[in-house]
Amino acid sequence: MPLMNDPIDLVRAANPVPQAQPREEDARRRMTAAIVSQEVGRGRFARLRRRLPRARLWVPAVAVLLIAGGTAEALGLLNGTPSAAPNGTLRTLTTSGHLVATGSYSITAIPDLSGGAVGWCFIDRQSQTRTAVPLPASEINAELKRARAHIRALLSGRVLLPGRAGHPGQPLTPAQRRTLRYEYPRLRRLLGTGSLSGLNTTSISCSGVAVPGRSIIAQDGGSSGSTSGRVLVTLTSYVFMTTRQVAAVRVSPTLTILTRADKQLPNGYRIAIAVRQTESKAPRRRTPSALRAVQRPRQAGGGRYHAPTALGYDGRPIPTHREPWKLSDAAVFWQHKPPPKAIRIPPPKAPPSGACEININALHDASPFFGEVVKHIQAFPQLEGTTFLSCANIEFAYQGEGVTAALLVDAQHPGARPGPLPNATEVARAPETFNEPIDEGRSQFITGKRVGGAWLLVQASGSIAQRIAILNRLGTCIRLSGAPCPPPTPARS
Amino acid sequence: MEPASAVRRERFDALVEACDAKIVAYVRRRAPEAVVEDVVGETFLVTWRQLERVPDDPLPWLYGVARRVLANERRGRRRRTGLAARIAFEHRAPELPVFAAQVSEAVREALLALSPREREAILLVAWEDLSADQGAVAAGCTAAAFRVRLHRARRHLVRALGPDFQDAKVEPADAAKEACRS
Repeated sequence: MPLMNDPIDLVRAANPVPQAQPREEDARRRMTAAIVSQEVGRGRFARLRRRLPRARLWVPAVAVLLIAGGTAEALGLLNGTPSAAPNGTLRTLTTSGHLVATGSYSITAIPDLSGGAVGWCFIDRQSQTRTAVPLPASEINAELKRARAHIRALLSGRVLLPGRAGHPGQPLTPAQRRTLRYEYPRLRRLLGTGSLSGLNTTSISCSGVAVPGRSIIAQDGGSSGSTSGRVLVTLTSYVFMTTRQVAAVRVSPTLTILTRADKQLPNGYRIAIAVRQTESKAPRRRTPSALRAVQRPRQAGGGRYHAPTALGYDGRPIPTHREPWKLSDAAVFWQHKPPPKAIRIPPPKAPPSGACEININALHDASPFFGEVVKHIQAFPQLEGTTFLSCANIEFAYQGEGVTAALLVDAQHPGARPGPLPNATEVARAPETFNEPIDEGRSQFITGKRVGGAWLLVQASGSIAQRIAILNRLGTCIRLSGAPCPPPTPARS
Repeated sequence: MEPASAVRRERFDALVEACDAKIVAYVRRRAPEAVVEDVVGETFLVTWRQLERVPDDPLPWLYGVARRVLANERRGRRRRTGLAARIAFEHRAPELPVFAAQVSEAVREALLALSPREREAILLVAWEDLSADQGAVAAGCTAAAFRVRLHRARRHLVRALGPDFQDAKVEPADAAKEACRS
């Protein structure tokens, strides 16, 4: 160790962050937007606060919080909840805004392949194995036994608290003694919140499009409840896909989720994602109403449902259409073998002639199931960002596997060279053919190539080579105007 | 936006622009990476609400806010670390700042041997490059009390660092009673 006159020099040399590095401009802007947006909603409260003496305000404030069931929710979440890193840690918040457990999530965007559909499908997977609050029964008993023994030893003075580094142990202070005496008879109740199965979901939200006045493109999420003893633990996940103008999504007056960019999302779309955990008193017996409570857990904090509000970088709400709606082009459904007790008007057994055609005749032993064909391609100039219209799709069996093929045109300007597929890379030794990377949790992947003014996509399991082989044997026809494609020759069954 | 609000927002933005990097570094030196964003956000939230109280030299004041937010965060973390740990708290080491891997073991041990107040005084001067007057604002005490605290911290640090520092130039103990009770 070098000899120095001032030990502070040594501490200075050991600074773990010697230089203050500026954060990304984006992160700063999102933070200030969230702060200012919270303040907009607090205006009335702030005025009230100025009028009332501080001490008196606590009484109604505490009462309101207790009634709401989330004791410190309003205190913990005022700053907005940052979305987790993509494919990374997922934050879980209790009603008090505290992180209790972590899980993981990932997000993938693929074009909606259904015939006539316009927009994107977002696949989000979340995994939450266990929370810190509930413990398995075996652990509860072991923990209870150990904790009781240790507390008894501490109270009797046989065991000392460890001192700071290099210092001898210390006896309990009177305050610590009082705390332990209070805790001791309540240990079982504190520990006995049981186990929680967690949250493991994969969900798909489709028809996501960005148009003026709609900044929340898609939303997803859900709840899972678990009771043990007298505690009902509910995990609620919130997932929003937004346009790039959105800095945060306000879910309720006390929960604002910051958005973040994700390279998996097209057009610079952003994602806001968070999971909240609530604990409440469960009914004594599982009556039908109790079961309903588990199946449909109440909104966090006991409040009513709030429509999500998109907030811009200035912290102000971005006007948005409340009602979810979708864009689509008229398409005709066909099914090769309709079920025996078919609906009143059975669909055609083969693809009708329309604006697009996908022909599988060159694939030996391919058996068509069903598909959809758009009659006339319609342009959607109001769309913002790259968006595709699926003008035909077909699902068929090939070599024992289910395969989906689709023809996608640029939805804003049909016939123009369609934009890139998100996150897809060009396949080596197969020019103009693109493949999306392997993504854990999915069994089928998309490989595509541009044909004329459209993407021809194949979604299937198996290797890239197999998908390329299928892709190269599919026949296509695209008629943007004028006469429709001729009816294809009947596919072999 | 009303003119007053616009002016307020402008001042806040300027403050964030000027101090954000230093506050992030301050928090990063003392807390796990997972909570840095939250603590910085909370610090600026308090700043936004108390913008009228921010002095002309805002950085020490912001450090003071960040220090309190960090303390709150640590208390919250202790509460939720898990029931077992909460009940059997005697098994845990006292709450300590996060040190990077490159901090030598001797320095780490010496810093951990200090009381939290003394440690913070040393770190404000060594890592945040604050003067005694600025450090007093950040620590929430008078300048005189901060000087006394710093002096004691330095003396304790030398003692904890061992024989290599025995001949270090340290003033005799100041008899002044510490007046800062934050």
